[in-house]
Amino acid sequence: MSTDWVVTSASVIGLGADVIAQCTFAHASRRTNQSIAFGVLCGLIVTIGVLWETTTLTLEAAPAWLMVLLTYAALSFGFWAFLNLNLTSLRIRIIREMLHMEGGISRDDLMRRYSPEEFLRRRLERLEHSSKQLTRLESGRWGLRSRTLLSVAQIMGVARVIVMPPPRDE
Amino acid sequence: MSFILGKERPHLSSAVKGRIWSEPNIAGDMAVLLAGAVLLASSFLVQLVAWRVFRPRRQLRVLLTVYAIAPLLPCAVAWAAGYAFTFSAAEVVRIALFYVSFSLAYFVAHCAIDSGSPTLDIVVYVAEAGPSGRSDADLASAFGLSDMTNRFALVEHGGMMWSDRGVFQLTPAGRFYARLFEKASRVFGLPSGG
Repeated sequence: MSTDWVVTSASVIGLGADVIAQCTFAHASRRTNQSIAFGVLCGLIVTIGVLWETTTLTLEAAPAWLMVLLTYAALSFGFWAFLNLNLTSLRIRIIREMLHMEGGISRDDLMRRYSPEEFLRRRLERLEHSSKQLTRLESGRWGLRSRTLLSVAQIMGVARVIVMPPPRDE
Repeated sequence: MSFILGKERPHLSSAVKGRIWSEPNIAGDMAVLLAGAVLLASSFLVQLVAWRVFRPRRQLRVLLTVYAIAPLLPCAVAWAAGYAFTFSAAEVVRIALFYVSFSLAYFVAHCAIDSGSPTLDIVVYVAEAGPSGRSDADLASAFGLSDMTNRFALVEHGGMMWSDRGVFQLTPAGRFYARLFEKASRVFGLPSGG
C-alpha cells in the first residue's frame, strides 16, 4: 500500500483499534465508562503511531496530521454516540424490551413500566455515581458537583439558537 | 489517478518513491484540508438557509439529503471559476472520509440539539438553584409525566412503533433497530440503559 493510502486510512485503523480495545476492556472489567475512555485513547495512540511510521511531524506534514486526527476524533465521537444510545436512551430501552413482548404493550403498561419516577431515578443515579455531575448536599437536596455537563448544555443552547429557526407564532 | 479540473498542476506524491514527504507538498496537503473544510461549511450554510425557509418535519431525512447534495455546489462554483486542483485518489478518499465522519457527528449533535437531553435539562435545573440545590420533590414535579409522554411520542413519530386501539407494537424499522442495539449490547459489553 502506498504511503498516501496509509495516511488516508490511519483514522479508520485508529477507529478499529478503538472498537477492539473498548470491547476487550468492557468484557474483561465490566466497567463501561472506563472501557469507552480506554478505547478512545488506544485508537488515538494507534492513529498517531500509523502517522508517525509513515511521516514525520513537520510544518509541511501538519495539515495532513490535523486532517487525520480530526477525522479520527469525529469517527470516535460517532462510536461513542452509538454506545451512549444503548446506555442512556429510554427510547432504545423501550424498543429493546418490546422486541421480547408478544402481542405488544398497552399504553397503561408502558406508563407503569417506564414510570416518570423510574426515568428520573435512573438519570439521577447516573449523574451521581457514573458521571459524578451531581451530589447530595448536607441538606439532602441535589447540588452541582461538576460543571462539565453544564458547559455542554450551555454550548448546546448556543448551537440551538444558531441551527434552529425561531419558533413561529401560532 | 488524479482528478483534474481546469489547468493541470503537477502532483508530487506520485513522482516520489518511498516516503511521500521527502519533497514538501504544503500547498497540496493544505488544499486537501481546505477542500474538506469548504465542503462542510457549504453544507452547513445550505442547511441553515433551508431550515429558515422551510421547517422540515423529518429533519434527519432532509439533513441527509442536504449533506449528500450540497457538496456539489462548491465543486460547481470552483469548476465555473476555472479553479484548478488535482487530488490523488487517496486524497479524494481522505476528503470524503473527513466530510462523511464530520457530517455523521453533526447529525448526532443535531438530534440532541433538536430533541433535547433530559440528563442535561436535569443538570441545568439543579445548577439554576445555586448553592441551595433542588429537592427530590422539585425534580419529580419538573421532570414528570410530560417528559415520559414526550419520549413515547418520539418513539412513535420516529416510526419505530405504532399503536392500534391503545396497544403499541414495533414497526419493522423498530424491530431492526432493537435487534441492532441488542447485538451491540452483547458485543460491546454494555449494560441495559434507559
